[in-house]
Amino acid sequence: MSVQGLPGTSPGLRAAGWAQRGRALVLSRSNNALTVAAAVVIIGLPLLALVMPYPHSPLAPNPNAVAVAPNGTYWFGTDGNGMDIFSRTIEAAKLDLPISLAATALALVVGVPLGLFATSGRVGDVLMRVVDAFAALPTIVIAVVGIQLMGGSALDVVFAIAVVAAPRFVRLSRAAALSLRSARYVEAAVAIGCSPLRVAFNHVFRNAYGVVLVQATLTAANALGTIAALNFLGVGAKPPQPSWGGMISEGFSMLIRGEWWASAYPTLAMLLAIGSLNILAGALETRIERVERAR
Amino acid sequence: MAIIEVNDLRKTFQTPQGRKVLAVDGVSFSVEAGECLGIIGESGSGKSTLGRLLLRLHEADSGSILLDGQDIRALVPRALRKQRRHWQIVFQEPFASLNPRLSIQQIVEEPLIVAGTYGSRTERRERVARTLEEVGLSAEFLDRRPANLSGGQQQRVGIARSLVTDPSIVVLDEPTASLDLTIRASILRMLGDLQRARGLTYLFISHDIETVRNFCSRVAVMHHGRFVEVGTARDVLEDPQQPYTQRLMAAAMPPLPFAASVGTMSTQAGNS
Repeated sequence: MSVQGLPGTSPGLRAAGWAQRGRALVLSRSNNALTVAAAVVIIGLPLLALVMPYPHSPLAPNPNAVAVAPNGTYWFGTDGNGMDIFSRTIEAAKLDLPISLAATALALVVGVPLGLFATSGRVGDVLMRVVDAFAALPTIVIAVVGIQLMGGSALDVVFAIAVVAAPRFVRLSRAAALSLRSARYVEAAVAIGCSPLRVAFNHVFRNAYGVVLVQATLTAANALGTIAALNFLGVGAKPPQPSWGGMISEGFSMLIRGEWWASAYPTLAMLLAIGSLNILAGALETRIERVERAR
Repeated sequence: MAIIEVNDLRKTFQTPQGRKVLAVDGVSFSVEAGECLGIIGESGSGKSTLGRLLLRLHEADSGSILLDGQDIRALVPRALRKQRRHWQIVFQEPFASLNPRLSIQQIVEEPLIVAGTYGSRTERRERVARTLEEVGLSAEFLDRRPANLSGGQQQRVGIARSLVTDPSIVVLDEPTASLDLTIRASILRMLGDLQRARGLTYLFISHDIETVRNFCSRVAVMHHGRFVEVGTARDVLEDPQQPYTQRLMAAAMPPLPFAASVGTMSTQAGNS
């Protein structure tokens, strides 16, 4: 693979198609330890939950081991029902992370085309007012109401969070489309006979996708917090299915007795995931810059 | 029959303050195949707008435009896109008119991809390489990005992009205005050679009277959205009849020794 190059430069994009771009973004030589660690957390945690043999079942309570402090058997201790915190913390990643990523992807897929094409005319104006209205509503409130109305499955959580996050992508891509609409190369693209779709993606979006991707990564981080807040309020994952927010909520009543571990470990896991996504966003930003400047 | 026929073309723009500006005000003209019509005028005279109206990059308010005998104002968007390969434009700002994220190969190939009638990927690539060679760029430029080219090279890419589909009409919107003198001369010479070799029809928009004098067979003088004088380059520029043209000629710098011909210029450079 052509990952050689001067130190600190990315591989030259010979054909510079989307596939090559993606590969160059992932395989850049400039990986620092922090970025790698962040990627390992985001990809590794759900994988771990899928393949790891748990020391104890994350779903079965042990009535003989209720609220046990962390020890050699129960590494992170047990909760008020006698369930293993370590297994549950890992198991929760299997649900929380994919939901946040799926919701972000959905918001991206819906929001970007809307923003790129809603640049003018009545339809665009109306759409933007709707988007503004959505953005003005408090995230958690819409999500709680939406999820309750839809039923409360994991998919409903994905939809609710996507709806709340989509306005951001509509705004970003619309701003790009508006500022690039009068760019000479966009006019040139029209002059050679490009369809509106081709102009929007090959010329406008191609010059703005960096901001959108970075925003997507930050949105995924944000969504993790929202999911935890929803589960904390009892919306979304149903017990005994573990989620970080739900576990924090359950452990909350134990805090007063000095039993800190039931809330502390899921909180740490959540912060680790959110922090990792933020680190990835930063790495993505600098890397896109470098890949796009190559050659 | 004339290859370009424009009749009573009008276009009004509205400023953000709501004021109406007549950019093109009842312009009519025709251009024969293989001819070069120069359009001169000061900034804001509507000459660039006219070039864009001609290719329907802006929509005219009224009037008719026949290109190759086709009424292009009557074409639906899809049909217009299909026809665009016959009628091309080269812009004034070479760098701004090239997508910074595409390679030269991709930029010059795109008109062929969009038209969809230029054969396989290999055939298209051969055509791209051939066209780049015609405008004086070797294959080593294929993988470069616009930012890594000089202004003159960027404009050669812009010209290659407009010629790759073998158009019959090319609008040249001040193609050399932002280039320095020596590069300007070589680009103009190349455009002239290409016109003769391919039998192209040019609409050459410029504010530089000397360039138009050397490059165009016929000249139209534009002022406040109207044609004030049209004729052969010699008649209009040597013996202007209209007061505005006379003032424009008087305001232009007196012909400098090196502007008379390229030959004189090289002698001067040798002496200095």
